Amino acid sequence: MEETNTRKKKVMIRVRNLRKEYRLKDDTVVALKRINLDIEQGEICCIFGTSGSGKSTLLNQLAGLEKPTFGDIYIRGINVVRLSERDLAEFRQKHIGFVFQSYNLLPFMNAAENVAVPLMFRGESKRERMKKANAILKRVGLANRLTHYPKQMSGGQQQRVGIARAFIAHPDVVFADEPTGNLDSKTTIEVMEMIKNFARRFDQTIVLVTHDPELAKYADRIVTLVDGRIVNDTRNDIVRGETHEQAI
Amino acid sequence: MKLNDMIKICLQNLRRRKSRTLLTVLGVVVGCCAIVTMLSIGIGMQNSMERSLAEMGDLTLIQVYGGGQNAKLNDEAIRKFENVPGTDVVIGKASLNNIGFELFAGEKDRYKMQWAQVVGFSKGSMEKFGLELIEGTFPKEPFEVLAGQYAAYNLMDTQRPDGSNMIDRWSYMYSFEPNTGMGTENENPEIPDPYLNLCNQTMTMQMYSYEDYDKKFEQKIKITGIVKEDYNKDYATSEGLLFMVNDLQALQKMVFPTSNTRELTYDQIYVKTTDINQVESVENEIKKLGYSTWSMESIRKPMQEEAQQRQMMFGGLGAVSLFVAALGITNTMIMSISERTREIGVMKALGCYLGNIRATFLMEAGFIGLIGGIAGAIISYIISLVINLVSQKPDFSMIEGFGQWIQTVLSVMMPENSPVSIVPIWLAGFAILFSIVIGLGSGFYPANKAVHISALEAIKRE
Repeated sequence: MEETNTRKKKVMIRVRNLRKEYRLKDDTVVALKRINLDIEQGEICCIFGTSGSGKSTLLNQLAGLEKPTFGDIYIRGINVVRLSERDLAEFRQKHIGFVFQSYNLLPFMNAAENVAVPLMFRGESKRERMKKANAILKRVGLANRLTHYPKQMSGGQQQRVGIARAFIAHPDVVFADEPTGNLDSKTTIEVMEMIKNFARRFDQTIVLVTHDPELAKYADRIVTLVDGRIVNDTRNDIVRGETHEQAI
Repeated sequence: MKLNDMIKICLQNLRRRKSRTLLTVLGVVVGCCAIVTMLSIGIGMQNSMERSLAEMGDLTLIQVYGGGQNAKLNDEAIRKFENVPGTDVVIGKASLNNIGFELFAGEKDRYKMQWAQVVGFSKGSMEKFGLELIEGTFPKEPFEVLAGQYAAYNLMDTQRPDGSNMIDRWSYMYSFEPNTGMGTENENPEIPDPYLNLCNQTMTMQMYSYEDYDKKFEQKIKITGIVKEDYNKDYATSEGLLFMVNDLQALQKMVFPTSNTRELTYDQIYVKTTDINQVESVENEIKKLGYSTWSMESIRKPMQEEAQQRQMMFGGLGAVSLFVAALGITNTMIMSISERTREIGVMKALGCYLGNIRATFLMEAGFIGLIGGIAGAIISYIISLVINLVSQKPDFSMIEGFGQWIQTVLSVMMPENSPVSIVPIWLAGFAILFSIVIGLGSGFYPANKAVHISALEAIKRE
C-alpha cells in the first residue's frame, strides 16, 4: 500500500468518519457507518454494492448533494461538508462533473446547448461555450447530432452527450451514477471506454457507482459496500495496466 | 449565468407549454383590461364633471368679500393676499362712484355713447384674470382702456333720426312673437357691424357729478383692444369699458377734487391661485385675515370626493379580477415547477446558482405579467374606443373613406368631447407596470419553491 501511494500523485477525495442517518417517523436508519476512504487523483474508483448497500448515499455525500450526519469530505483539500450553498454551486461548476443513469439532458435544449450548460452557469459567453461544446461533441462522435434535441436521440447518443457535458469544464472529479444502467451491452462498452479515455487524458478522477460487476472491471479500484460499511477494497491493476498501455 | 441566457431559458420554458402560458396570460389580460376600463370610465366622469364646473366659472378663482373695519377691500388687502402662498394673481375691481358720463367718438363727435358699464382693474391684472382679446392689445399707458365685445352697439349716430340711430343687436338675436311678446333665440344670427370699430379709437369722456349736473369734466381715452364677452368675469366684457384702476382713481379725483381723503376701495377682489389644488389652502388663509370668500371649490370638492370614491370602487372591481389572474400565474408556475423538479435538480447538481434559478422563475412569472399587461393595455384602448363610439353615436352616415373615419374616431376620443372613457398614457403605463409587479409577486412563492428543490432529484431513479 505504501508503495502504491507514493507512486501516485495526491489524494483527490478524502473521506473521514462519514456517517449518514435518515430519520424516519420513529426509526433511524443508518445508511453509512463510519466510512473512511481516500481516492487518488486519476483513479477510476468503483463503488460497488447491491441496492440498499449505501453506495448511492455515499455518492450523494461525496458530490455534496446531501449533507452527512457526521464526518468530513475533502475534495482537493476543501471540506465540501462545510461549504455554503453558493460556494458549493461554484465548487461544482469548477471541479465536479456528473454522468447520470437517466442522462438528465434538459429537454428544451439541443445536444450542443446541453453540453454547454456547465459553462453557461459559469457565465461564459455563448460563442465561446458553443465552440467548446461542438468540439467535444465531435470527440464523442456526435458531430452530426449537434442540433438534435434529446427526444430525437437514442439512449446511447444521449449518454454520450451526458459524458461530453460532464467533461467539458475539465472537472477534477466526475461522478458517474450507474451510467450504463439504461443501455444495452454494446453501448455500455462504448460509453465506459469513452469515460475512461477522457479520464486518462486529463488525469481526472472518476467515481463510478454501480451494482454491475461487468462495469466494475473498468475501474482501477473497487470499493465494495455492504450495509453502509466498506467490506472490501481491491485494486484492479491488470485493467489499469492494460489501459495505460493503450493510452500511451 | 448571464442575463440573456436566463431570459432565453425562461422564454423557452414559456414556449414549451404554449396553451397553458396563453391561458395564464389571458387571465392577466382580462384583469388588466378590467382595471384600465374601470379607471378610464372614472377618469371620464371626473373629466366631464370638471369641464361642466369650468363652464360655470374659473375653478381657480376665489371671490373675496370685505368685512367691517379690519377687512377693507383696499390696496393693502391686495398686498396681503399676494403674499399668501399659492396665490397666482390678485385682481381688484372698482367702479366710478357718483359720476355720470357720456362718450363721444368719430369725426366731429358724430357717435355718442350714453351708457357703458365701467370697471377698473388693478394694475397688470387684466391679462392674468384671463380676459381674452378679440383684437388689439392690453392697455399700458394711462387712460388706455379695453372695450367690451358689444360695447360698440351702444353708439348712437347723432346724424340719423331718432328711432333709427342705433343698431339693436338683440332684435337680430331673438325673434319675438308679435302676440305674446315671447322671444326665441335665433340660430346663427346675422348682426350687422356696428357703426364704428372701437379698436384704436380715441373717445372723449364727458363726466359730471350726480351732485352737480352742469359742471362737465373731459378726459380723452384710447381704446387699445376689444375683449371677448365673458359674464363670469364682468358684465363690462359685454357692453362696457375696462380701465386700469389708477385711471379710475384719477377720474374720481378730477370730479371730486375736494374729497381726496377717501382712499380707493375696490368693489370686489378676486384671488386667482396657481392651480386647483391650492384653492382650499389659499381660501383658508384669506379667511384667517378676516375676509369672507366664495369659490367653486365649495361645489367642486364634494363632487370630486364623490368621483374619487366612485373611482376607487371601479378600480377595486378591476383589481379583483387582476388578483384572480395573479392566482392563475402562481398556479401555473407551481405546476410548471413540479413538472420540472428533475430539471431543476440537474441544474443544481451541475452548479447553477440558487439566485439564477430564482431569477429565472421570477422572470418567467414577470414575463407573463408583462405580456398580459401590454396586451391588456392595447385591448383597453380598443374597449375604450368602442365604449365612446357607442355612447356618443357619431353620425356615421357622413363618413366616406378612411380619412374621415379616423377623424370621427379621433374626435370622439378627444377630451373636449367629454368621452365616457379616457385612457391616459400614464394609465396604460401604470397598468403594464402593475401587471409586471403582479407577475413578479405571484412568481415569488413558486420561485422559492424551486430554489428549495434538492439537487438529489437529479439522482432519483424513476
